[in-house]
Amino acid sequence: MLEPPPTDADLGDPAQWVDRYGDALLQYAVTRVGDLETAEDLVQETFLSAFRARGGFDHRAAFSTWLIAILRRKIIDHYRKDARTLVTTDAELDEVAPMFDRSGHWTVPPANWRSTPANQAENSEFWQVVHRCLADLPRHLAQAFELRELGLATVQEASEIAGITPRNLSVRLHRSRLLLRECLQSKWFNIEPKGDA
Amino acid sequence: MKRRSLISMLQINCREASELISAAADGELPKRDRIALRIHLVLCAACKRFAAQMSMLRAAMSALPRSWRGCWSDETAHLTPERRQAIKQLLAQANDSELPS
Repeated sequence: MLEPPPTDADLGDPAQWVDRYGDALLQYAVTRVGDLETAEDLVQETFLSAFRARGGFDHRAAFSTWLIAILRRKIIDHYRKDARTLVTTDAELDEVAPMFDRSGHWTVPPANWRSTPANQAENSEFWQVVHRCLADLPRHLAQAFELRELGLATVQEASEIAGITPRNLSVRLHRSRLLLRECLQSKWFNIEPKGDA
Repeated sequence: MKRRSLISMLQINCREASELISAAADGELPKRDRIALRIHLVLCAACKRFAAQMSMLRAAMSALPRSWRGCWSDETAHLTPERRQAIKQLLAQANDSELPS
């Protein structure tokens, strides 16, 4: 039997949603869009959408999970709009060409980072460096990386958002990963480039 | 990934290997590419390190949701009082507009 739709009394005063969930939503958003003001706009839109759609909340998930699901869709919409403003330069530019010689071998071979994911994930300074490195990437590459590595979209979804084929998305992901890796190597792992292999 | 002949399977270079390592993070590689990459990684220490770095980065990124608090942004991620108030006002207006006149 279907449960009756929630009443407004079940969900409480919407003003209290802001106090109870506002910061958590903002933190979720800011990690994914990297900009506080944009994140605040998305949180605002999320609360308004949630209010309008509150009759559809069926209690199968926690209210906070439902809000995050709405916010996630807002973030994807944000990326989709962002993609329309990006100049597609894949064909003209090969940002990672200098990393390889003519025969396709590393000009500067990757060094040993001597680190584990757990070491980095708990380190706030590491995230600040990742954030800065992503900000330095061409926007279309950073967008591809964020959509995939932050778990926002599947390959198919990310391709649709960016308005490119999955093959071209794969090219962007490859370039973004190489550029981010190079940035982290110099800015976080403090490894000076060496010419030898 | 483009299809390769059996002979050229053994001949991928580091750039191609890095493309396959990246592609493998987004989905299963075709069998030929998988074998070509495996052979290349046995022979190439630099690409093996690259593959390890990609794994590390991916694992770190997947840990981000648990560790983002105050880390990702230089800003402390709290709604400003002004924004908090603005959202409450918008919600109140939305509520008023639903009330029967």
